[in-house]
Amino acid sequence: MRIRIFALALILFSCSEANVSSDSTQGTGGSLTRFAIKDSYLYIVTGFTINVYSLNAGAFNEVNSITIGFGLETIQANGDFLYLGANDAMYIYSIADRTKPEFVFRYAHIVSCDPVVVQGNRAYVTLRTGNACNLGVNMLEIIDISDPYSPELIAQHQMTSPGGLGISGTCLFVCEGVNGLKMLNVANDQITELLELPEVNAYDVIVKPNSFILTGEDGIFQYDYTCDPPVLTLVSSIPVQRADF
Amino acid sequence: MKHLPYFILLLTGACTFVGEPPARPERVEGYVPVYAEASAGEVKFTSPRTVKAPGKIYTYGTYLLINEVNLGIHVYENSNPAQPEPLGFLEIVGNTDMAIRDNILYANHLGQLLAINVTNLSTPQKVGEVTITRWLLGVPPPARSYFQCVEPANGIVIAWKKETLRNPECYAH
Repeated sequence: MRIRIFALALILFSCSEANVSSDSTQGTGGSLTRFAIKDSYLYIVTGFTINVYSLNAGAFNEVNSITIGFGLETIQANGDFLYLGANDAMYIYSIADRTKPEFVFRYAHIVSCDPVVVQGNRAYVTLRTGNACNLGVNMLEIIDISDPYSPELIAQHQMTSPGGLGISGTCLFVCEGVNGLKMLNVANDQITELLELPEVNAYDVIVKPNSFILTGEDGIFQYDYTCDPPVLTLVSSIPVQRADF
Repeated sequence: MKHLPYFILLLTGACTFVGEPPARPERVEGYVPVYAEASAGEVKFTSPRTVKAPGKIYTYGTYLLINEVNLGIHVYENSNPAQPEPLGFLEIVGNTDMAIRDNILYANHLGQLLAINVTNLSTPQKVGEVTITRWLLGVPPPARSYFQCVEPANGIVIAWKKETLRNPECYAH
């Protein structure tokens, strides 16, 4: 009997957010990234593990690999913690010891596809119904992570098909795939929809204080924005010429 | 018990189940996996290309990087966001993810993690390479299609080729 296993795979067009970093020599990725850098360590989520890589010159190697479970998709580093988005949960790991991620909490919910982004003591999570995830719901959640050992859901908002997301200050951007991009205000943990770009195919966004870069099947679009009053201004676009399978 | 569980696949913003076909036709149009050799392709910087299947994006200084799914990274000079200027394309077969620190780009290349010095983008220097434990991520088959089952021993799937299949045992819902 031959055994055939096709491993969990994730293809791109993900949505994302600014990994705000005080380290000027580091770049900024998105909410669906599998790579997160903290100090001189790179953390990679595979489908099943967190791998830790030392980035010190002359000592570039894998220093640890910890099995987490199944369906890992995204990773964000914030302070001394890693936030993992998985098919069935958000995981929090401590990296107080950079080389040894330690389990802190598993925030479980019904099966859905969900990236997570973190700003201060709030985690923003999207839950999306997909073909395989039809037990899921289409929801944006705000989770209080002041105590990462005891996260608490503090707000929910109904969405259409939310994926990746990005935040700057009180302005949150949620990509909804073919349903476009939504700009929301999350001041005081109250979620209010401000504006939307319904016509753009929105998968991935990097949000900066006054601008964002959006990617999707139609192209890569750069916008300037203000949250109060809510204004979106298209600055440029890089076209995409899709190839057929 | 003929089949072990097929894992959930996630496709372009939606989720896809891979599993038993709804029926097993004798002959049907489907897809066969294209495997990459672990050593496929050298990292090199070439002239700008059209963006066809954009993946993850990344910013570093005034650079904007756009992953071309499984092929490499488009590099733009973005100091004027009104006019992003294409600088070139970094060929890295199998690439989907990236991060940069101190002018070193970390990028997955099939099951390997490469460290590439990009101080001078036009002459990228590979400065390190390690195996990513349990990376196991390949390209999922197109949704709603029959495909030839994947044999992990053959390597990582980097593409799918259309072909007529006989009694295919795998189907992507």
